[in-house]
Amino acid sequence: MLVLTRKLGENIIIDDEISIRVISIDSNKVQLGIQAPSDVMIYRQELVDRIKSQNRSSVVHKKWDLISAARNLKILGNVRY
Amino acid sequence: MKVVTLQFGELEVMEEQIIRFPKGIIGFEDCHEFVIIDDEEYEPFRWLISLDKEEFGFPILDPFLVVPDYLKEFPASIARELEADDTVMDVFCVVTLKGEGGKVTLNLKGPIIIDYLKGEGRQIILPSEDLSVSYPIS
Repeated sequence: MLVLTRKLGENIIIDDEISIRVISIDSNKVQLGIQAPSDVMIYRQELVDRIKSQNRSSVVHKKWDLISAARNLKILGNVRY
Repeated sequence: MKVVTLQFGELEVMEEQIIRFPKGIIGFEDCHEFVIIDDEEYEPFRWLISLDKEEFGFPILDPFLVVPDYLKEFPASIARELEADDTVMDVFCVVTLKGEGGKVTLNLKGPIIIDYLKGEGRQIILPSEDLSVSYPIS
């Protein structure tokens, strides 16, 4: 990990296209301004962790779990198609 | 090419069926090739099966079947592409099964977008805090 010290208002440039600026500093919070091309996804870590964990719990090993779920969906009419 | 999967055993997969995920799926960044498998037994669910990891596959669902106005959650540029008449893009959400014959939930927060023309897919995270990773659909 590269650790840099920046003062208020100072920038970091990544790969020519991404820049991060320190917008404000509070006692335990830093506000960062990030500029990047629109195809670069920028997420808070905890959000990525949440999706990661959800993806992991979605891996299905037994097909029949899904069959009964599919049947239930059709019976309950929860899915309109 | 022949592929061995946990869910379907050995499958014959055509080159043009393979969807490349340059950045993998969140949490599985080393899975770069997937195929979508349909089996009418599971309709309307479909399967996104990894060609890189034999045991990795998960059920997916067209989210518009349960959330008709889902498109409004997408950034304008992506929504525009999805809405176009001649669109080559599709959205799927990952399905999670909880317990035996129990609850089924949909991850509306992290949809998967497929571009069939490029043969590429990626998972994105939508900004709205109202979207759930486990939206109940049963």
